[in-house]
Amino acid sequence: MRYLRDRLHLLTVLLVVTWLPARVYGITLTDVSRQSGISFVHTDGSSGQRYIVETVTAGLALFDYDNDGDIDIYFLNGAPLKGTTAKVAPRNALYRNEGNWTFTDVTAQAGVGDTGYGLGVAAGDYDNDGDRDLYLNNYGPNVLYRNNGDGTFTDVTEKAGVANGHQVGAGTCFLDIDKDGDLDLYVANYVDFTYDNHQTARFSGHPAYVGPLNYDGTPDTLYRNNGDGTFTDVSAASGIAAHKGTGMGMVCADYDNDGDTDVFVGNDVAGNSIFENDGTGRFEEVGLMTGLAYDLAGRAQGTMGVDCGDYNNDGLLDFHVTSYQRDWATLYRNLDNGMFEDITQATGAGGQTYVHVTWGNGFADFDNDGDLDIFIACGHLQDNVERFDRTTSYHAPNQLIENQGHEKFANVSQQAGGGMKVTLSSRGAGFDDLDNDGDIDVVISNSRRGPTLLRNDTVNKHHWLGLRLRGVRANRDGIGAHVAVIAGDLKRIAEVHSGRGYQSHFGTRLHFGLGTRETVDRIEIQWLGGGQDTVENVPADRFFTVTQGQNRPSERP
Amino acid sequence: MAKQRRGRSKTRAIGSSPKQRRPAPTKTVLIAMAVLLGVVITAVVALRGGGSTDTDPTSPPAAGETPAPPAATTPPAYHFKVDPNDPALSAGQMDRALRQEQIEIAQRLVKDLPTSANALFLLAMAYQEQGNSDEAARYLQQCLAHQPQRADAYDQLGRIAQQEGKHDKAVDYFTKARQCNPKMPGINYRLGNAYKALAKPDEAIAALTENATLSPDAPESFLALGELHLQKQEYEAAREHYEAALARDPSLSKAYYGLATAAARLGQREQASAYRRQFKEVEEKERELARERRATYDPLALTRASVAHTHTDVGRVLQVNKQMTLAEHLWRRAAQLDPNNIACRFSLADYYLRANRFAEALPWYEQIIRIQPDNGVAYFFIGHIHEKRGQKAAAQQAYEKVIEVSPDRPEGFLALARFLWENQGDLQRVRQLLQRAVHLAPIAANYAFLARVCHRTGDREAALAAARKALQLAPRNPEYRRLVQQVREN
Repeated sequence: MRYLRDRLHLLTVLLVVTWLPARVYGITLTDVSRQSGISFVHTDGSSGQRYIVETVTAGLALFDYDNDGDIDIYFLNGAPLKGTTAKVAPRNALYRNEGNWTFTDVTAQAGVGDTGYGLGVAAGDYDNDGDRDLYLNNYGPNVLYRNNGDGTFTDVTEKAGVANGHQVGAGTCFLDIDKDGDLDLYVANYVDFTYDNHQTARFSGHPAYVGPLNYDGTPDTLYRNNGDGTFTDVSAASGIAAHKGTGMGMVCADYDNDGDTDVFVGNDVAGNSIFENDGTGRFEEVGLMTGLAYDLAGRAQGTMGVDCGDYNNDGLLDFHVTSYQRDWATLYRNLDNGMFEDITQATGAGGQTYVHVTWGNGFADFDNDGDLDIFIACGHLQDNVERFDRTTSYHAPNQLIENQGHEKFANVSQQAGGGMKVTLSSRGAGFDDLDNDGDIDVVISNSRRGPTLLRNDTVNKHHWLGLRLRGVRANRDGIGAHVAVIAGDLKRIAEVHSGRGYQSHFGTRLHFGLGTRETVDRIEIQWLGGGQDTVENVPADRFFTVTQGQNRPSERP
Repeated sequence: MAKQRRGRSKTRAIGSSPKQRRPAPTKTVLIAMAVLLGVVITAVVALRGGGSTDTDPTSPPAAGETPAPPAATTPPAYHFKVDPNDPALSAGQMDRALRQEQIEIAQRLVKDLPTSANALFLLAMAYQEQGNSDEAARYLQQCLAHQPQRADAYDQLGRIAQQEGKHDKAVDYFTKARQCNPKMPGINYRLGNAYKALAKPDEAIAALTENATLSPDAPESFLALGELHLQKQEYEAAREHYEAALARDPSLSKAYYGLATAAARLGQREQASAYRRQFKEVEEKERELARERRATYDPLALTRASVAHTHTDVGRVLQVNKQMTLAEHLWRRAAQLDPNNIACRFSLADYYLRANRFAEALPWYEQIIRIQPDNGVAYFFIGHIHEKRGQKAAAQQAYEKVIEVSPDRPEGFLALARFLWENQGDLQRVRQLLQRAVHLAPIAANYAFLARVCHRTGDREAALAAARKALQLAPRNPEYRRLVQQVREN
């Protein structure tokens, strides 16, 4: 009997031991905001007047400003609006990544503490000097900070000619519209709000913000890089200015795979704009024809964030957009004929987004299993919404939608660790490997609160590859380059973007989950403007940099 | 006078003087049909939001009429704390005060009638109107505890679940609502949409197809079916359903979008382009309409309308419970709050009419006409009141108006025919009116009336045909048997 009891005990122990890893398997995101040393707190500058701009601030940028191989964080902040006073002007903040999930506020020494009303941001090396510059799309004059390469920046807005007047900004992207090797600049504009035409609403007796349709839409702005530190406004000549919209998040991507960079601007309660590039920097708006302007039912959504990625590994870029309450955040599959279809309901990619207003979004392979998952930042824009609508909430948990393969997604937010239980009113979100440990972490900008940092603590035996591009003839960061990674039976593609998601910037350094594959057979890089490089037999679980024209990668984060 | 005449007419034989003659069942049928019409029109008006009037809704009757008595002293239980015209209150303050009143009145009803499922349902709806779905769901559950087969309560719970993104729960509730009332308007549509949200296209298609069968004129089901077939990559089927939707409503931008998508998937580029153009045109019109709506957006007016709606319904529950003074009090408050609310005005007018308080009833019907100039029911009862008060010219004018504004309904033709018949009117006109009436409502009573008129004009053949038709439709009715016999013998 004792023998039997001992055997039974052993069996129980074995079961527990083998069962435990199965329990922890799965994406796990841990909230490490407090330990990070980040003290930044977002303000929307509100005083109870309910100006529409308060609802849409702000994005953030994840980029390596000091070229030390780790990803730093730049937070946008609001500013006091009419009726609000502040003893100390709120400012944007740059946090240098010190490693080990600690960050140092270097805003002052870097000189990037803009006190304008921040909405959108993109990082890109517009002067091709080897470091990333910053463009801020504000309510009010915009700002271009040139990176001096020594940890400081200089405000070169006036010289560059990219202040963009006094508009309500939105997303912004660096892109090379004409494949001439320098980065041009797309600036999305939201609506023609001013203090003079300010409006409010009231729901069930409670004061409320109005939506974008209470104002006229505005055309976006496109600046061509003159190559000498200045830009020329080519909005009209390029065809962009012919279209008024209510621009929000955006991404610049080669949607039709024809070798140039197109522009996807999400519009708020209006059809999204797809500006197709003819290869020379002239654009035609083709949103309706592509199927990306409206959801499956033909509804113009309140699009907030936009991202792209190849979720089904068919070699084509798909798109994801976030939207307003009672619309799903929507996944569009690329049909490889210039058209897309909304497959949100069919795939389950909508998760629980129907209930919430959704903002920051990004495709990222959080579990390195070789396919892209989707992270969605949530939170209502009406700070008192519970008073007139109890089916939703101002503070809301974010959502993690796991790609299960075979065109199916599952909402795993509840099972993905304590980080997914943080409940705030989130806006912009960025995704990158902040601790260089081979998995994608998350930074979220929260309205009227400090940010949320989520460390990826997923435990599995999957492999990965980090890849940074260094253009020579193409722009320095390889923005717009098309990359394919082949590892055994897995072929993954990605494009390098500057500006994406909800008015944010992240992911210039590419990350590929490889599943169980330990080696990458081949990396194919199609540089924007021509030229292809192929790198073979690359070991997994490392960061590499590939320089244009060289077929040997250098190992560095 | 009218009462006496009606009493005498019951004993009159066919062929006697038209002045003293009255086809007995006709008036009852007329009023019943008019009431039915009233319900329908009221519902339609409620959906449309009604017209507008610059008249003070609580103003006294028109000159020459007996003024309506002041509203009964406010019962403390249903006291209204705010004067809706108080200039000292800002729009926001007024808005909140009225929303509070909405809840308090509905709560009071539940306090007075704690076991009334209707009262609990109304309180739930008052909460739901204000977006408090938690409380709404709580009272809907209580409502169901008292009346478990209540389809509308399950339906509302389903809608709340849907708004909360709990589509599986929504399916359960909508299914229960359908079990309680399989013909509940739109229930299959909502069930289908809940299935669609759960990525169960086959179940969704089944429910939406059922809805299309029950409501073949409504385009929504066809639109949703088109979308589902698109999802299933059944592009021909999608196209058929989108076309069916457009056949019912050519201004549906989403149907053009669906057609464009289906055509594109089928490789029909030119057709897809054409549909996209149509989509953009129609969508632009929709956006223009939305812009106009936003330009006239008045949240306080919406609140007043919502509160008036609740008060009207609370009044109806009180009416059912014989608390007429309270009901009247609430309807008057509703009329004061919402100058466009037709339902409360019908309730008030109907209440006064039943009590033979014609002078009080008339101005409410006249207000309805001012709000909705094509309201045939109001004209019908205006005619009825004038008739009761011996104002024949005004009565005839009102009945003529019923025909003018509701030419596809039989009530006006019947009312005017009866009126002329009883008042020595032109018999040929009476006959024409009745011919139209039997065309619109081919029931035995109308054929019998027509038979009498034809017989009176000497057209025995037509009279016999109409009498036989009446008997054919109601073979057990001895009166029609006698009618056939009389016409045949004369």
